[in-house]
Amino acid sequence: MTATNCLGLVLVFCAALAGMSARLEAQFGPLATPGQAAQARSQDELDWYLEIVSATGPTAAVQKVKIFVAAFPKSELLGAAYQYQLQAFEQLNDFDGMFAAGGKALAADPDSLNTLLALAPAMANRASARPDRVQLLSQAESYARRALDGIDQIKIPRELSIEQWNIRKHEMQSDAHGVLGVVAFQRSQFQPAIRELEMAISLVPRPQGVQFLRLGLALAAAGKKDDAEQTLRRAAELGPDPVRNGALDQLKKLSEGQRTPR
Amino acid sequence: MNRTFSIAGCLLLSAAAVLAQSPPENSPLPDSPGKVANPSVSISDLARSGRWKEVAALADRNHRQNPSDPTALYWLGISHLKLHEPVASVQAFRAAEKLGLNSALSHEGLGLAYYDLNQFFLFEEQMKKAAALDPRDSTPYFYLGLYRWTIRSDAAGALQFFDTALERHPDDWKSLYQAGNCLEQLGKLPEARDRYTKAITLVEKSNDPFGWPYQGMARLLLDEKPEAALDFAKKAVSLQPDEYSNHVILAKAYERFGKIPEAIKEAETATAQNPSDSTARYALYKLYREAGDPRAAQTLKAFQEVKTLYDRD
Repeated sequence: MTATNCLGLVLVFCAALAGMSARLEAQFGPLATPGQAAQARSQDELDWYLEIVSATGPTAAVQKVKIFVAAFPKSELLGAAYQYQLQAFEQLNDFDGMFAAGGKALAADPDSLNTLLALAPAMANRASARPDRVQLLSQAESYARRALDGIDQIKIPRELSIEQWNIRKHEMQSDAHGVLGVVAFQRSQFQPAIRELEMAISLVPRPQGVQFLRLGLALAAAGKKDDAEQTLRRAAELGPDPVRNGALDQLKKLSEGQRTPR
Repeated sequence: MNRTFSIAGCLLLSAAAVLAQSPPENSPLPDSPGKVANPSVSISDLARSGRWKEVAALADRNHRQNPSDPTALYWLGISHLKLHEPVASVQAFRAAEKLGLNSALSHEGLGLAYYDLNQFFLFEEQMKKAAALDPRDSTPYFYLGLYRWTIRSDAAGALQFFDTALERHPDDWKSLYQAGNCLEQLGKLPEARDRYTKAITLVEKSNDPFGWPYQGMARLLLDEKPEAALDFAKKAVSLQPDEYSNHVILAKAYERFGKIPEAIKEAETATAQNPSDSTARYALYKLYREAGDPRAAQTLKAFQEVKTLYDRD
């Protein structure tokens, strides 16, 4: 197995499971914190925005954002609208659309954790197949680090308890460290990759199979065969099927004595 | 009077979850949201008993049967508001509005749904429309005052609205309390005391479990007359034992008399009732420290965490 193949494997699984790491929840959106909420200036403006919020299906959401942006180009709700479009493009597996919407969302709201944590993994997971790989990895890393900084500085709504926040915070930190791990892996920096991926796993109470798969691949790439096998077995246990199959495939190769090339 | 919508108005307005406190008691509510066609008694029965999911289902069915009738949409708006579904609530009220519904009560409902979405510009617009359609109604001014104070921290602006509400409903103890609170924030303590006293007189006549003016008096008298402050604080707690800030002021009153164990108990209750409030945490930390309680260090740490996470000033 070549390093490229190894990376490709990660990409396949990350792409297949992209929806599991995307957490664009309204509680951290612009409608969450009263004093800072973006304001619609007319009832029509909010009506159209709510059409986006209540859109059924990603294709409809993408179209409704386009209509909203054309009708209200100076709306304070643009950033939130683009976040919905970003999420819709992600569901449609349209990375270019996602990237464009994410850029506009960040232009409107540069510190949006939702946007940073949606874009960063998408970039990291898809970079290897693209000609702008180096740039994407660099941006993914930058977004992940900005998210980690932002998580430490955020003020949260009083409706959210500290316990709830800590769970959410650790999930977001896990996502960001996972991105840093994938970025390092794709740069063949296996020790930093292992460190970040272990951190990602340690931050959540129930790590996902894909996180163990990523770590297992990084351990294998670093030549830590025993640790890799143990981690891949855990990935296979947790699944789901694409992860299980990938982990078993990698385990088979390790047991056959194939070295994972650097 | 159209009984159906009078009941709806009371139910809607007396339990508005989006605001810190309910609106004035006995406020002159509009009789009807506007063009009402064949109001359904069964919906009002369901609403009266707080069965909002059933109200929503029935209103939805009525709307499908008669799409040009704004009444069903009005009920949908109310039920979704009560079910904490503000997006659906706004959409229903807006659809009713587009069918010609234009009344004080419908604008108040829509305004509250906007408030629930933190859309304050539109909230203010709707409350002003409601006030224009029923100039005798104090409720929109009460809501506008609460918004000015709780969201904008604008005591002077809020006071104007509460005073306007009181012009329309002089015996509204909730507006009296809120006006007193604004005056207290503005440093006009004698006037604040006057409002609290009037509010207390009215509350005692009505036996309403409304402890806020007692809490206000306790705050004002804490230094000057601590014994009276203690009595007022106890009364506030007895009337609204689930309101954490009543326990905070009672803790402070006990502290004045050196009753540290009692004060600690009250501060612990306050912290348990509102874990995200830093003032309660700090009061508890100070009391633990004063008592030599080893939990002081841990409480200080918790206070700092709460302040960092929640407080914006």
